[in-house]
Amino acid sequence: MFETTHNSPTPHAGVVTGASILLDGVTKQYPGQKKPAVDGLTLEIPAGKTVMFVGPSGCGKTTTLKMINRLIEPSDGRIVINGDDVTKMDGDKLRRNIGYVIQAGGLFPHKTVAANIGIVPKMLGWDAQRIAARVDELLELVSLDPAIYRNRFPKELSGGQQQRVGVARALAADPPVLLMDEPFGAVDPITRQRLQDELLHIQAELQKTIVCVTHDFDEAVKLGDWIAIFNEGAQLVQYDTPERILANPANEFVENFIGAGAGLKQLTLTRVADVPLTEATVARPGDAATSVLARLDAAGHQHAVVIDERERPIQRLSRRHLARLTTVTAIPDPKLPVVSSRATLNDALDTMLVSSAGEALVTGRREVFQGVIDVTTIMAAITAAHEAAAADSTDAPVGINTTSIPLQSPGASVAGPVTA
Amino acid sequence: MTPAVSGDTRAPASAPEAQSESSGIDGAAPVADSIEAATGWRSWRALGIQLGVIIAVLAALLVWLWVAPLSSTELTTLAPAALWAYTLEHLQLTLLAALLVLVIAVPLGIVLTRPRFRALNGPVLVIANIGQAAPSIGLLVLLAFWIGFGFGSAVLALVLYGVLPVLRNTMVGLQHVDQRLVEAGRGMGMTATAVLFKVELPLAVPIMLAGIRTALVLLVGTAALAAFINGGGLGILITTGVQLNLPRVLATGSILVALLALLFDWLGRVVEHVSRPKGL
Repeated sequence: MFETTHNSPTPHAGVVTGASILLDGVTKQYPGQKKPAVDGLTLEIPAGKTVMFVGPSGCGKTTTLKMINRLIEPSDGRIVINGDDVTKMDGDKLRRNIGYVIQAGGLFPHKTVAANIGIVPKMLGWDAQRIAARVDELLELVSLDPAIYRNRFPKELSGGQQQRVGVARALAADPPVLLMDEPFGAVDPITRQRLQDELLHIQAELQKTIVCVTHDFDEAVKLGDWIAIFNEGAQLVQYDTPERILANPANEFVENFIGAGAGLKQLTLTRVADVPLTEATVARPGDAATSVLARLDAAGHQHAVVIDERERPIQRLSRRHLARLTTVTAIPDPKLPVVSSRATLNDALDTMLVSSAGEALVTGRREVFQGVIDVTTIMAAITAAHEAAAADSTDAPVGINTTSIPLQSPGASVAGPVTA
Repeated sequence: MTPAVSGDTRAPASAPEAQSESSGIDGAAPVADSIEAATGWRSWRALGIQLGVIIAVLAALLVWLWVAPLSSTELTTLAPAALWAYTLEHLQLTLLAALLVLVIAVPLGIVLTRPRFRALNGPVLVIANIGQAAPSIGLLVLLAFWIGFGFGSAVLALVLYGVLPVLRNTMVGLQHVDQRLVEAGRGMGMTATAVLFKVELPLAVPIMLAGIRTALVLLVGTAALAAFINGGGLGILITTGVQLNLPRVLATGSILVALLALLFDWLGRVVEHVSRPKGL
């Protein structure tokens, strides 16, 4: 059984398994409509990267996505995947090699989870044993226990679980490209955040080329290596990294689309593990309060962090509090400002603000205490991000509309005179 | 296959779920299971009751025929061999018409829901609904004047009448399938035919079968009118009963037609119950 698993083209962590995509002057003109839905769009999508399509509804981002797997046939232009022109090949065969995820998973309600995931491998002629092994492997990948979930029907799953199975189904035949159409639009915010985190982990391991349509700019910032911002008629307004779009929005349309708090959104781009942490004075339950106070004086700290026998932080004691104690207590503080090192700076800042501590305790694996992050560290990280965004802007993939129509949005037309 | 068994097999699966990390989210699943098992059991019980009633009424009718003081005319008309022959004729009419209805209406319904013919959907459904409202006796008699009296025109009239509910439910059933599922199927590289047979039709089955059951019941009832145009069947008992003022014959014919209709309804329900796709 495991042999079969290894025979399948399972990618090794960190190896790019994605394929590059090139949309070359792609146009979609629906009959009976004056303006094309997508107008002469040329877009390069680098292999192994996640590209997010964002824009107002009806701007043609979904049409563009569906032209990549030719669910919608382009009226003009070429689609090139991994160097091969796929514009004329059999659409069904093409789509079997491109993963496709839609909102709410789009699972077939009359088929079990395993049967849903096995659809594409079955079409590709895999034998039953290989499909079964692949189904279990994929369920593990999306954090669902195969023994529990493989024989369930979709209605027996929660929305988030259905979406996970949808992702597993799209990955079934290990396609180099994954297309996602508003994948997490139908789940609640908490589940959405977890699914996004999981997609990031899966992507870090598999390095597929992911093209994802969303109307949620925050989701684009979180998931995307590159973000393509579209206006009506799939006019590409800006195509750049999240950092640079946040730091230098191309015009007022993009600024409006980013919405308020671009600075705060930048905080979601950096993880706590990426910034230098501050040392803290550590105490253990039973330590003499005076000796801890002496160490605080020596280090110039205001608070001591009490950790338990497994080095997990349980309490944070101020000088004043310590002065009243003889030995350090072991009362766990439920309001302790703790963040994981995998959390974003945004989460860290939020934790600080909620607890009004001005700093947060960072924990690593198994909640082991690692250090302290404070507001100055976060400020420094923002400054560094700004500088980095301004510095390198030469590696951007190509993205242009060959036929240029003046932007429709009133914001964009106002932008000219104001900035000039 | 029985709901009781499916309920049992899923029960152990829901137990270890309590330990799974996302157990909080899908706490509803075991509840849904038990509801499904309960409704399954309830509908089986309803089916049992329906069959029991049919058998009881039939038995009562036969006992009554056995003990009732029948005149000699009544005795010839209601002789067991004659009754059996009328019933068989009635079944022939109904089943032949039903078969033709299925062969015509189901493929037609499928074709009309394909994107190419979608523009025809509205007009066809309107005509189907008008046809349904037309009185069956009128249709039958007009057809008989047009193509002649007898078994053939009776079957033709029945087919015309029975096509409508099957066609309508096939179309509605297919239209009811979530278009996103069709798109998901195409997006995975399934051909249009594969999507039709593996996604659309299985999901449309409950509505389609309901239409077929309606048509069968309609056909059994309408076939009683075939006697008016010399088409045979249990309707003969009714016409004879009316013309010769033999209320016992009339009653026997009516009750037999009703029982036959109920029996077909029961059969249809059993098929619907068994072939309902799991997971819906």
